[in-house]
Formats: sequence, C-alpha cells, structure tokens
Amino acid sequence: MALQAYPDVPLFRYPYTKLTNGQISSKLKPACESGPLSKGARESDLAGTSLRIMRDGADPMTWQFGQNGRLTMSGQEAGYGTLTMGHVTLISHLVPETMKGWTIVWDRQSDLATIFELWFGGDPSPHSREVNRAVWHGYVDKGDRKAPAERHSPTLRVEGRALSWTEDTGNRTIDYYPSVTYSHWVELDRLKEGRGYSAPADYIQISEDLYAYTRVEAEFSGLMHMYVMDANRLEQIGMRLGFNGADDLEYYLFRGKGEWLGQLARFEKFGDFSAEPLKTENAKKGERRIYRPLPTMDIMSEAEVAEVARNTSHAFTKPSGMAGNGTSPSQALSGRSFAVTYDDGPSMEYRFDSGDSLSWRESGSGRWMKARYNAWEVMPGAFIFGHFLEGKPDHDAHIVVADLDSGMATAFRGYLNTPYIANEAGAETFFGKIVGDGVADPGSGRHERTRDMLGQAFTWEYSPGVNSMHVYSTPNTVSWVIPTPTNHFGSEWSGTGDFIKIRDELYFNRWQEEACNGTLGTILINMRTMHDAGIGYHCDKEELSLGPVGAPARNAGKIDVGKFFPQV
Amino acid sequence: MEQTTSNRRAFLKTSAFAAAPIFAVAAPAAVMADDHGAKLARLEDQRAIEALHRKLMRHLNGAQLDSGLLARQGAIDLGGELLSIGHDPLHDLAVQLSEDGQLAWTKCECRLERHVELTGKSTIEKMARLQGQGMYRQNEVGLLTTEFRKGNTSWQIAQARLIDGRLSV
Repeated sequence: MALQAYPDVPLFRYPYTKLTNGQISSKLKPACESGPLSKGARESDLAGTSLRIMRDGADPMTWQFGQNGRLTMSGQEAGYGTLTMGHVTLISHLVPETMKGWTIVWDRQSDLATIFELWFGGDPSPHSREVNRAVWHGYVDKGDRKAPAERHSPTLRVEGRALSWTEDTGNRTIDYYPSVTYSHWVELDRLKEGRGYSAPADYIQISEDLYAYTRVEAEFSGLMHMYVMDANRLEQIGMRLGFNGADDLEYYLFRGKGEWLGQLARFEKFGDFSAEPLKTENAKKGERRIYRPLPTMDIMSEAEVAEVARNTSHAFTKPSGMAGNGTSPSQALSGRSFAVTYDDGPSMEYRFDSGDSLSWRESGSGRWMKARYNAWEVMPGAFIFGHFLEGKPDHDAHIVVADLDSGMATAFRGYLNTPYIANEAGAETFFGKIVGDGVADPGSGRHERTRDMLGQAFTWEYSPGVNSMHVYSTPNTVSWVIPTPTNHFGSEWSGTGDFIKIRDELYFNRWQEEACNGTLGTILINMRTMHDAGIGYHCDKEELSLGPVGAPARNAGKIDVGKFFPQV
Repeated sequence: MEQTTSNRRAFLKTSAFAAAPIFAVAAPAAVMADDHGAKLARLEDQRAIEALHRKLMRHLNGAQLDSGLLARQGAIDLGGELLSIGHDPLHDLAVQLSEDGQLAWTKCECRLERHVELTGKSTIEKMARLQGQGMYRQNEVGLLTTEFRKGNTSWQIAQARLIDGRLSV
C-alpha cells in the first residue's frame, strides 16, 4: 500500500511504518531548528525575557527567549513557537539532537503553568513513532513571592462534553470527551468514511473557563494533538506533533473556533470530583493505561478457524458475562414456521422445532439443517434470534430481527475469514420481509437505516463488574467506554457500527470489534423498557460461539452531530 | 497463644454439605424431658455456641481467631474472597444441639460482599482488567451453616460453609 498521510482505509487497517529512532531523529532535526509551523504570524512578546517554572516533583526549568523565534534551554538553542489566547500562552519547541520536545501552558494571570514533556523513541510506548508525554504542574518563579498553593490539575469537568472545532489549518474535527482518561475524535475532512476513533487523553483544568486537552493517537499514527480550549468563548490554541501516515512530521501550532455540541451524563457520585481514576502507583514517567487491543487478541489462520469451528463451536450453551442481567430467552417462536426473504441476500426458511432448536434451509431447496438458537421477544411481536449456518465456508451466523406484526425482518450476517484477520468477524446487513401464516405482508416496506441513534449514548450493565457505555458517534461508528468502580469513564475503543430502526423506540444495532478481539456485537434496544437483548458472535482459539447479550440501559444523553453527516 | 486468620481465598466444597445434618430449629423432644441440670447444661451450651458464632462472624470480617477454636484446618471455607459478612437481622440465628450434647449446628441468613475475579474474554472484561479491575465487588445473600464440636475444654468450629449463595438484588 502506498503511504498516505491520511489513509483512505480505516486507521486500524493502515500499516503504519515502524519508524526507527534514527529515522525519527532525522525527521525531527529541521523542526528543532525552526520550531513549529503556524498559520498565523509569530508572536514575539517573549523575546528578551526568560521563564523559570518550578515543577512539582521535578527540577525547575528555565527558558530564555531570544530574537527571531529562538530560545535557549539548558544551554541548547532551538526554534520555538508561541500562541496566546486571552491570558494563556502556549509555547512549544523541540530539543536539538534528541527526540524530545516541550510544550508549556502558562496562565499569565495566575502564573500557574503546566508543562508537557514529549518524546519519541518508545518507553513506555511500545511504538517509537508514538508520542509519549509526561505532565508537570507548577508555577512561574518570579523570585518576588512565595510559591502559590494552587495548581492546574487533572479534571473530570470536561467528561461528557462534545465540541466541534475548525482550525486555522482548515481542519474540522468533532471531539467527544466521554471519559476522564480517553477521548473520541472524528476528522471530518482528512479521513474517509467519517469514522470516529478513540485515544488516551489528558484533561487539565486551568480555570473555570480554560481546559488543556491532549490526545495521542495510540495504536495508529502516534500523533499528539493538544490544545487549550476556552469553554465559554469556544476558542482554542493548540499544537500538533507527530508523524502522519506518510511518515511526514507534523509539528505546528493552530488556533480554532469551536461549537458546543452537547453534554453526556456523568455518573460519579455527587461530590466526587476526583479526576485520576486510573492512576498507576509508582508509574514510570509517561506511563498510563492505554488500551492496545491486538496483543490480547488471538490472531488465527483460516485453517485454525476451520478447526475451531469444526470442533468447538457452540451456540447459547454457556452463561455469558455479557448477559448476567439479560432477560430470559423466549419460547414463543417454538412451533412456528416462516420464511425470510432478503432483498439483497438469501431467502431463509425456518421451522422453529422447539424453544431452542430450529431447522433452516436456503432458497427454498436443499436439505433442512438443524441449528440451536435462542430468541428474545424484545417488544411484543418483535423478536431477535440467532443461529449458525453450518456448512458455510465462512462460518456464517444470522442474527435476525423479525417483526411479526409488520412482516419486516432485518439480519446481520456475521462471518469469518475476512481479508484482515481470519477470526475477526465481518458483517453485512440484509433487509427483507417475512412470509408465513398470520404474518402481515409489508409489500415493499422494509426496516431502514436510521440517524436516530447518531450521537446517542447508553450505559449497559451486563453483569457485576461488566459495564460499558456506548457512544454512537458517527453513522458508522460505535464507541464503547469502560467505567471504573467510581463510575468515572476510563478506557475507550471503537469499531464499525450499523443502526437500523425496527419500530419507534426499537433499534437494531451492531458493532464490529475490528483489530480488537474480533467480536460482532448485535443488540435490539427497547428504549421504552430501557433494556436490550442481543447476540455476540466470536471466534478465538478456544471456540466459535454465539452467546447472549443483555443489559438494562441508562440514557446517558445525546450529542447533536447530525449536521456533520449529511445523508446522501 | 497461636492465632489464625481466615482463609479468604478458599473455595466452596459443596460435597461437604451432603453429609451435613438436616436442621431442626425447634429443640428436640428429648430436651423437654431432661431434668433441670441437663436443661441448664444445654442452655449453657447454646449460649457458648452463640458466643462462638459471634467470634466466627467477627473473624470472617477480619478479626483474628484463636486457633484452638477450630476443630481442624480448613474448617472455615466460604469460597471466593470474602470482604464482609453480616447476619441478616430479618432472620434469627438458628441453633441446634445433638441429643448427646457433643455436636451443635447453626444456620444464619447472611448478607455478604466478596471480590470476584473477572475472568471473561469479552472486550469489556479485557478493558476492565487493563484498568486494574480484575476483581469486582459482588453482593450476595446466603445461608451460613456451621457445625460445632465439643472439645475437651470448650466448643470448637468443625465446619463453616455457605450454602444457597446467590446474588443480592
């Protein structure tokens, strides 16, 4: 694949170059001299001054600012850039002959400062190209007063918010901040498909108005994107550092204008404003909990998948942590028979022999095949059921929502042997109608994809200790965020989603955990009872499985992003 | 004197319950027929059992227990990692003494909290483990059944088990 600065494939499919430290040092060198680029004019009011910042837990640092965008730090001279927004100044530079850099957020009103120490080359990151950061809080030492007690500090105050930003670079981004330690961003211009991605983040409160935010696009480009935002004035000043998909260095400052898009609920106890729920004791510099999904995923060949499918596939035979709070399967389909004719898919005939066993055949001919199934009647007359299609080369499963009142049906077909990872589930969506005794003929009526879910967030309480929040961040993205025991939201990841309206307040959603555990998750959400029932399709080295999913929901709110995704 | 702390990571041995006697909450008829001295002795035994049961409950909540109060190693085994346990005040402690006065049994409806290991392989569980949440707190209700034996000098706990443990909702 030719290198692309902003890939036209999903980022989790793009083979980012494993840059060596030598390559990185070489690419950084010019920027060490020049400092960051910027669309605006260079600010020069620091020239001829020095800045000494006392850091908590580390040595003081001193910068001396010269003319023409040059500074000296620890005897080394470098180019720097600076932007000011109100009483906050952002200063950034790299350190010559190293893979390091510094970015300072200095509140000139309070003289409190936060320093972001940045470095490439790995440790703690496993990827040399990924920006590491350490965050130092402190104050500007002017020698004429004692140290202030106040500091900038990590905050949960941003948790749940979402804003869109338009930078002076022209780039437009939706930033969801659904967590205290992660964020979710949607590049609207440079990436195809309008997908959202998740990244570890910092949220630092500078004042009631001002917050510093960083994200590192970990497991992808490794770029760092950071800014100070003024929550009231909806302005930002920021810095971007790292290597894009073409391995070109991006190091620039930017200004931007924001638009407030909404606020999801927070779930911490009232009065709990703690903001470091995942802090690691005795962590090494820069260490934090970053979800890196591939190392914990079995990567299997097609032959291995076939062997597992042959020997250890099971459907609804085991309890699942994803359904500890699920509803009981329905027996109501037992004894019924009907066909489902999909417009762009197969015609499936069904005989429901019992409450958990059915017979199916395809296209009205051939041998009837037995399969174990489970069904849930999520709203009266509306069922979700799923089963394997034994004998299919890609180990298909159909997860079907059959609305026996309307006569419409929709299926998510799950399959394996995708071109990427053999045991990673692929999925496609079939729309169709049900033909059977007592079932209404919907004519040309079909369930349809919906934008009703766009921007919506639900929490799910699957089992004790197994909880998450879904954020349906774009028309094709499901993001999931994991709460801590204190109900701060923590780590987050995301994958491809699809959203189908079945009835008013009844939605059939799926997500694919691509390059991340490989599961296809499907749920039928009843927004009247605020409960779902669904089916997970998963293959690893132990088994190929269909298992139940079910949890009560809480409506965590909705972010208004519809206008960014015009329907075509 | 040697002290012992509770084994909080032991696992429930359900087979032990098969041999457990059937409880009879009411005092056996033989007790009613006993003479005054025998009645007094049984009442003293009952008080001793109740006191030892309180010590057991304190021990299960973290207090040390005189090892001489245990009839054998492994006598106390409530499974999993118990964090706390308390007598459900809606139910009385039931005490039964054997006719020969050498054995006694209690049953106690309890509410308890324990750590449960998150072992699943779903993405959520993997991410929870990343966050350091390999264990979660689970609230349960269950019946604590305890068997006591009369030693040479005092009553001892022969076996304490939790049966009918279930999630508290």
